[in-house]
Amino acid sequence: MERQLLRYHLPKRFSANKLQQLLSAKYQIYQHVLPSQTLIFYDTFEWLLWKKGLICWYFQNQLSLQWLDYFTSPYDLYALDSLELTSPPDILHLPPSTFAHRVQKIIKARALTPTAEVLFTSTLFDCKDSEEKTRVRLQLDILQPPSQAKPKVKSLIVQPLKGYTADANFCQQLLTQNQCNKTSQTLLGEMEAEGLILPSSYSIKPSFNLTPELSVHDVIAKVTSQLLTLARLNEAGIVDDIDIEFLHDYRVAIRKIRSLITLLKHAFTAEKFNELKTSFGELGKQTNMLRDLDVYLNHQADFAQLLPDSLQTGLHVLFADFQQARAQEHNKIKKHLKSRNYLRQIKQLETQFQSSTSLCHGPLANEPILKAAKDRIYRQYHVIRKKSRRITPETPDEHIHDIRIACKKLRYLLEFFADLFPTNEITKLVSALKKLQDHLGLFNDLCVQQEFLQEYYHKELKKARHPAEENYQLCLSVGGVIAALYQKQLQVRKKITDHLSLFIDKDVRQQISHRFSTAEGEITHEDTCELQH
Amino acid sequence: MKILASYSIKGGVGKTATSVNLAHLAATQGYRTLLFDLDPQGASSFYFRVRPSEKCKSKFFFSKEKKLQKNIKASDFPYLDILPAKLSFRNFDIMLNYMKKSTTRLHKTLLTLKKEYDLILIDCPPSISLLSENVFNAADKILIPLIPTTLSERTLQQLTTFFTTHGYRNKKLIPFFSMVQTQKKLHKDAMTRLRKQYPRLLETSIPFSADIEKMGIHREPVTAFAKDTAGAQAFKTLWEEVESELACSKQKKRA
Repeated sequence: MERQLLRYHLPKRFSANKLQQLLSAKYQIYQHVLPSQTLIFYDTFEWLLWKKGLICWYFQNQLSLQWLDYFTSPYDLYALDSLELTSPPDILHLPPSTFAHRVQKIIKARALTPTAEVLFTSTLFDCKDSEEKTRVRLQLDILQPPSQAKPKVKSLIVQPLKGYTADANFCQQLLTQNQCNKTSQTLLGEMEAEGLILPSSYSIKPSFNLTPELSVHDVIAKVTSQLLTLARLNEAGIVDDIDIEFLHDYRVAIRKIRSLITLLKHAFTAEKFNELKTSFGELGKQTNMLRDLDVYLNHQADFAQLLPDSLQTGLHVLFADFQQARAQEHNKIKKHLKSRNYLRQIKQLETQFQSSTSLCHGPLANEPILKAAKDRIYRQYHVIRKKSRRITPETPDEHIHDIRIACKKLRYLLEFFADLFPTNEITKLVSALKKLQDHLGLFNDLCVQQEFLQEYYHKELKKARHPAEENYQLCLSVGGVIAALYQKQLQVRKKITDHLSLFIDKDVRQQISHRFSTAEGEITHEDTCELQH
Repeated sequence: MKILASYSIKGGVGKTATSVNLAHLAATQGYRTLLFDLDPQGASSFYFRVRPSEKCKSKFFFSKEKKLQKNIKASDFPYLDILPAKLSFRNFDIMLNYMKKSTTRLHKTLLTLKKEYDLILIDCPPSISLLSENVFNAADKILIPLIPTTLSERTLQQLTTFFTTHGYRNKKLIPFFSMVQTQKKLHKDAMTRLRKQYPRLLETSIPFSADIEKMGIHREPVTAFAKDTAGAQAFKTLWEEVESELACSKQKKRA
């Protein structure tokens, strides 16, 4: 019962009347003009639905979801899912529904915002025989940007009906004779070609297109400029508080730059290196508190699951406090991002990295990137190996934390310089490292959360903002959460030891040696110390 | 894919009205539906303005599966296709008589459509024959429209006896009251009596209604041209009951 649709490009002067006139020679035409309606498309900032092959649109008080290839019209009866919605919001918060469930699996913490808006007019032509049975259907769609008087896209669909192929063939012939050209492009394809919808290729993990002959300073300029642009693309989303991923991506970009500078520190003079490291460190630090609160609030349901019903009251108080603190913190960051100081600082950094020759005067600056990359990756792996060999159940948490940082640096190195090595080898290494990092990350989160909650509670006690009963409930819940987090931490720690031994095992070691070893790549104690800082 | 038949030994009880309206309602809910007009009178096909193809040869129906596909036609409603009837369908009994496994041929033929449709609704001719036995084997459920009169009661008894003696499962049969005129004492009494006798009778009754009769003028299901009338609403409730009995599922594309 699949629908077969044939789409035609129409000449500029081809009108609905002309079509009616042509078809009337053979059929009784029932024309339904569906008046102009606003059609709004929704997606996340990084077009996650589009990248998954889906399209979401709002039309006539209904939000619908369809596969990109199957989207033929906003009047689509075959939509995958739809949801009644009285008005199209600027930031779409989906009410609990199957629609929301399906979408949230893809977009996670991202929000849906409008990506394109057009005025959509459709005219349907039912071509009927003498018994008034429809033999073939035609649909003329006109798309017009809201601010423009002339239509941008004009397309005609011939919809053959099962058992009436001859009639569809007749219409096709008629259209070809009248200079209408058949096209394989979809409606969205035509919209894209006319600039009515512009999917973004934004990704926080971009490809830097590096080549082996580039020098270290060229690479620093290229990678840093690209990451700074990505960071800045997120500023508006943070200010408008669209979703928590804007801040996350902003922080990732800044952290990656700081990491790159640290990993290639000898490309700079000691003074410049310290200045840059401090600058980017400060930029990241400003947003620490807001990110922490975002994470807590986003995982509110997970925290609730840690405690029995009797301890939920205190948890509500805790999260109400977090919500309030977040609002204040967001205001602070909003002001910070709009401040003259910040704008001057970030513009200065952007200018500096546009031309790296004036920035990089260290001994490594003019070396070819391939050698430097191999060297860094090889050494960083061995730093992890060396640190991991000493792990026992008594090893302090700080040591695990150090391994996490070392792993993160290796991950960044692999991602920065991925273009320089065979993709399958890098993918394999990153995948092995990612499994280890997931556990290390979770371990760190659990430690940090316990500290954060203890500190929060001490402060709250001093402030004595809550009535005695609330304070008592809060005390019970915070204590309960800390205990539960500690138990989880112990479990995760066991898993880390297993994953670490896999990562420093012969297989990965040989892979690293084969691809990244250089003649002077042997690791010394001095290197280990240097790479740690 | 589920197969539902609208069947009665007796004629003029509302089989076609039931098939046409339930098929339309199923399609409006997104079930990919095929209405198979098995009655040579072709009333279902007439209501949807669908004529059979000239090339349609009924002798190939049970032997060449692709021929069946070629005779299916789209209705004017999304998700609803029609397999129109031909007068030559009257010969199905004679054809089946000469075939091996003559009571399961229809089921085998319809199974070839399982990827295309979620629901096949068969509008049966009034008789009890070899073709009827094919329907009994093919259908997951058999709707029996029942006018609350003595004669209808008698045909239902005949059918249940036939099912028992020929080894068909009586559970497949879903009778419901059709063309009910509550102002008639005869209908009321028969309904009370039959409900006691047949606990599987559906709750919903279809009233005798001028709107349903007007389907012949409009050549559309009453659920399409007069959806707010009592008749259309009764079919809607009937479909809800039948849908839960069938427990059919919609197949989503690529989802």
